[in-house]
Amino acid sequence: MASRSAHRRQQFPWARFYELAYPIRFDELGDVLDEIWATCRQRRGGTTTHCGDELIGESADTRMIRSLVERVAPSTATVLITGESGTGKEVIARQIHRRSGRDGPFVAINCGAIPDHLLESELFGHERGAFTDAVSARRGRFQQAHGGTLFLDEIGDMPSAMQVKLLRVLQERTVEPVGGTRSVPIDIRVVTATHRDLPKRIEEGSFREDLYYRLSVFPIEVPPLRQRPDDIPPLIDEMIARARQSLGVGVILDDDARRALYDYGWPGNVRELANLIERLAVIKPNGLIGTDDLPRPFGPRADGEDETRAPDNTASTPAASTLPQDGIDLKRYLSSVERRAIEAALRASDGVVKTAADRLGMGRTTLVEKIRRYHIIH
Amino acid sequence: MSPEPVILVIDGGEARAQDLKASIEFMDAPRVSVVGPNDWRARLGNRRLAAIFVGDDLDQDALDRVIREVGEFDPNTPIVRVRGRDPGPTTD
Repeated sequence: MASRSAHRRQQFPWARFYELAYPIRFDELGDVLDEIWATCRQRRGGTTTHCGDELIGESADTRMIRSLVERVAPSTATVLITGESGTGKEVIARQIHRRSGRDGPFVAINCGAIPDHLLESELFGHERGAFTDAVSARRGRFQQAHGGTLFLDEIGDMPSAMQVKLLRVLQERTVEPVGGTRSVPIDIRVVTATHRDLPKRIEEGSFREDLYYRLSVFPIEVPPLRQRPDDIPPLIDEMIARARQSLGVGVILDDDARRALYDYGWPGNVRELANLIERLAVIKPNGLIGTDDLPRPFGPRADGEDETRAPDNTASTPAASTLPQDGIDLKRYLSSVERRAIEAALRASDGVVKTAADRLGMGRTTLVEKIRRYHIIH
Repeated sequence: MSPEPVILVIDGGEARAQDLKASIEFMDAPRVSVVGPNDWRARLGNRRLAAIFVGDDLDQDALDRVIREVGEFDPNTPIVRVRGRDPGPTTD
């Protein structure tokens, strides 16, 4: 071992090698990680970043989108983002806002999700008494986004009457609340998105051509995930990291399961992938997931089996007040209760193991061993 | 635009790799991924690499290749070599 280490140091003189013995001792691992984070800070010029809403992937398409975002963000150009549902259009819109340097808020509205008769007051606001339910004046999304960015999602579903009013706002940079008599100046950056084929809708007469050209000053097209498979592995890892943060459990995929996800066509794009990972985190928290654990159409399942059923009801049921008809595996059930209690104690203690151990009435060393045994991530 | 840095774990044994991952995460490392010696670059994607943990039970050619690739990627990346704990005093 010693000669091999020395040989590698000679072979790779540039390398920053560290040594760690397995099984891991946490004091030794802590020392190594301290060195790693110190190195990171040096490489980053003394700063660290925490970003949760990033454009993930390194495919040529994603790199191009990232480059377009960098270029357009500091300008005031209106941006039209097109792509299938679930491709991450809002993530791109948020990136544009974040990098725009504008101090105001990012305000999003889904034009296809709000009934036509409510959309106008939602966008423009209203004065008190403008209509029956208008018991008080209310600022619309345009005014809310003053100084920032207004993201109009599903712009292709905007009713024709509203398209005219939007065009006027974009030209005059003022809004007139419903029931009002005065125009209010606004300073907003408009980003829009749609999964619709807008040129086709123009041909059909359901979308205004003049508005289209006004909105698509800077178009960004987001390809579906199936056309950029290189993005799938890092996206899987990102969604696993998010599931760990939001649900407090890990998702561990074996190689076959990863391959199955890589080969899948993802008609629902990134949103479908995110939903699947979250579902796996719930169904099999911290367990190793193979293709048999994947729901249709990713992996094989027995006929008649309910794909939404948790594979092990003793492990997934936090507390059984009544005994299931088939009985339970008491040892596994108690283990699941113990694991959940430990997770709860760690959460309540902000991850401080000593405090969590005190809450649980056990020694720190015992708790550390149990955390390792259960692969608890906190 | 780059997310927070990730620690990659490459080990010959799946169980040991997952145990290493759990241990590193236990020490509050936010992002840790178990990857293979042949796909670590693709799995890393556009994320920044904080460090790479490599097991000494990995095939020696594969280990050398990974080290070489890390050097080409960023020679300042810490490479943590994980070896079996000696029963007696450590001599390495």
